[in-house]
Amino acid sequence: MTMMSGRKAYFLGKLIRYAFTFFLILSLNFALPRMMPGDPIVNLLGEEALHNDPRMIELLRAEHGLDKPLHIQYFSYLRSLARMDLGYSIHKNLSVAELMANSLIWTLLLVFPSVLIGSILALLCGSLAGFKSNSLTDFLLTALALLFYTCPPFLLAMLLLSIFAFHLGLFPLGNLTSGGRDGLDYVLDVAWHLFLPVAALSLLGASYKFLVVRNSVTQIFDEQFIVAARAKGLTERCILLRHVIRNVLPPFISMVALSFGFMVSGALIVEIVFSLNGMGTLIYDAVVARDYPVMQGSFLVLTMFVLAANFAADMLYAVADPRIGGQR
Amino acid sequence: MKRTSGLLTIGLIFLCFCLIGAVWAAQTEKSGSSDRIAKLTVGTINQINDANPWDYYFGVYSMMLSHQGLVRFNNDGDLVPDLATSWETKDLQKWTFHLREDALWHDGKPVTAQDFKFTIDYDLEKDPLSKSYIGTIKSVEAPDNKTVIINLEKPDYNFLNTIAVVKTIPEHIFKSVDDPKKFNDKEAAIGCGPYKFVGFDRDAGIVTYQANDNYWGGKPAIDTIELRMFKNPDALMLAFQKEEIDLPYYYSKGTSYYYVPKLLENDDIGIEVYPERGITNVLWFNTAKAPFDNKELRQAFSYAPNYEELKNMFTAGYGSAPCAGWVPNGTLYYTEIRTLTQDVNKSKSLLDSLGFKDVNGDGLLEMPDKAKFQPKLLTRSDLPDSVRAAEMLKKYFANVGIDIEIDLADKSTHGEIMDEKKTHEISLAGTTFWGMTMGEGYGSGYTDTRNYGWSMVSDPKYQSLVDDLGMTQDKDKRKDLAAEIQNYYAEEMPQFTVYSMNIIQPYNARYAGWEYNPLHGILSYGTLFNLHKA
Repeated sequence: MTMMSGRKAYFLGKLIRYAFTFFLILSLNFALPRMMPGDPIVNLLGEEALHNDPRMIELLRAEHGLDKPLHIQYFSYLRSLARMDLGYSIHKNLSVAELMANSLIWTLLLVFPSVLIGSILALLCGSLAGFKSNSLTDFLLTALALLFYTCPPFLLAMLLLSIFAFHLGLFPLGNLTSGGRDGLDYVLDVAWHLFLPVAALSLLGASYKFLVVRNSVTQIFDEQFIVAARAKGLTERCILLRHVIRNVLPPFISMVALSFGFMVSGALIVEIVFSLNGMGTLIYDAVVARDYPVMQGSFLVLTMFVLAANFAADMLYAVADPRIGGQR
Repeated sequence: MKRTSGLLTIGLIFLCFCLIGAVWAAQTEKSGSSDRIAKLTVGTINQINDANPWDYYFGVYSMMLSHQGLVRFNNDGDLVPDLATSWETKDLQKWTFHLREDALWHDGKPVTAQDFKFTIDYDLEKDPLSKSYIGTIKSVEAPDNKTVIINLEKPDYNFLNTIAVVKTIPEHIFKSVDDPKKFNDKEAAIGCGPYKFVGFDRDAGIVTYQANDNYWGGKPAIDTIELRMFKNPDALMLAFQKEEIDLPYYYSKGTSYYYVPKLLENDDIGIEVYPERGITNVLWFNTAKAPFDNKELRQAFSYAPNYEELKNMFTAGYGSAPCAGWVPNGTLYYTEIRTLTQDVNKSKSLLDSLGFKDVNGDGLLEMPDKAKFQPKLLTRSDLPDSVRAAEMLKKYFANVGIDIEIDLADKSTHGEIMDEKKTHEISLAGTTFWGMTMGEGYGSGYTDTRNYGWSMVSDPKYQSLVDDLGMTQDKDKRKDLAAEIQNYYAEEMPQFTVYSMNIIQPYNARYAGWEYNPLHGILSYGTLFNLHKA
């Protein structure tokens, strides 16, 4: 009973903190784009502007509500958010919700399997390497992980594209679909298009998680309770699964949760190499063009995902390690 | 028996005629269609966000394929009839255009003068941005179905250049549309050009156009044009080498020379090099700011760079030597003045005569008032070649004792400084063909402080030359004025070319009839009608 109320208090405390953080980040999302140098309207005019007519700039500013004082803009931003209205892109002539709906779904389809595959790969290979520390298996797996970890994402993605798409012709050179397909044919076509980008992201994601898992496993094997478990006569496999992995899980959960949280920000480099329409390029284009509504909308979704993933991690943390949030 | 043989003979003769006829018909059909291109796939890194003519790149491709204006640029950069068959003006302020009788919208309705009047009025009312180029239009009249009269606020010789980029939109579609930027219906793409918009598959990154059978100029040579978008130029070039695309195309730009050696190994790929009518990188002085208001100082800067080295380094030989008269070779009434060359001694002596001396003995010059001379060179951080060129310029200027500080800014900040705040001292940025025709042409839009004014020239002598160009129709006088303005650039040096890269355009060599146009490049009107199997 006491343990339950302790957990409830723990969850409630976390929830209040998250709500406060969310509001703070919402305000930062409004302020940050406006603190950057550059002007979305001047950007919009670009090469087409023959005359640098201040009236025209003012007219465009008024059209996007940028002529009002900052505090009015801020309250209008909060009101719009309360109505779930993310506004209209200054540069792309589309509603922010529409733009993001399209990009977000593809980003989730690209990054979610990558994080999942990368994490499973890292946990399995990292445990194996740690378990067989200083063996040939450990040496090969660690070398491979270090290779991917130090390889710039652009290079790895371009290598995969060049070898498997250009030279071997096994996969397409980019985009999300070939177009003009539906039903199962469409699903398979999308999977075919996403194979290489998912592979690139999985390898990149797995490499650093592998190193953390491997080192944690190696360290835990030296702990006293492992010696005690061995003395009890438990098999090595049993020690690994029951005692070692369980202790590796909390930091691993944090890492995976962070990956899930930040997956909404997309994988800019991979999106560019494989010509994919995801959140990475949407945010990058918005920042370059100072497209305030798109930046605010994207940052909002990013915030929500990061906070949700962290909250989930906190909860799972408590489940994985009863000492957290339980009895003191 | 005889009767049977006779019937058989007649039957055989008939059969032979049928066979010959069939073979002839088949051959005729084959030869008639053999030259036509069924599908041309164009790969590009220009990103279309939506099939809305107000989307920047969709607008650009609409102007090439599905929409038309009153006039258009031909392959020489001259203006020729498009929807208008002829035009006249007496005072350069009132322009009368006569429209062709047989132009139809893609939905079959006739194109009228009222449509063009509606286009201008609608653009000015609904799109504040349009004021930047058609803001000088006072009124448009459509006295009959085929006559358009445009009244300007002041005489403007260069008005045809401006009107050439205005695409006509159908009144019957847009009259009920309140906000065109949010009108994303398929009807929004209806035009009167040689191609009809078919569809935009955002996820596949493909925009499809189909030949317009009812086009007044006849059916174009390619049945279907597919634009395939890439975000990565390397992937685009891989797709080109793999023959997935027929043409790598960048609006107003060529392909990087990095790809040329690899492409030359492929017999099915052709490469053409066209002279650039814009300038890749120009050094702009803010002439309204001291000490850059001094022309001797600007001249001293111009003698410092090694132009030959810059040309080799940044264009790999696909460039041209910059001229002191600034406007690119190929511009109408181009005047050969002098080629810019490095002369370190002349640069140093000019600086010395202006009182710029090394007071503290650190090898770098101080200003006449002994203050440290460290001008800021602004350039865009997202353009790697500009950043590299800025580093090279820093080295050249240091060689004559000028210590410049490189100020990198992203596209947005750069635009804000150059276009709005005008707080730059020196800047490195390029120009486009269209940009060079702005204002009254000859780069006056970039120079004159009344327009873009990147070099902030408000000298009455220069502005009078620009105004005269805007009001003069006489060709001889225009030639003289063009020469004077180029001499002004060479003498006053408000900006100078650092290097200029030609347009490198690879294409599928299995097709012939590619034509280059300075505004639209190889995806020109000529290509659309003349492309055929090689």
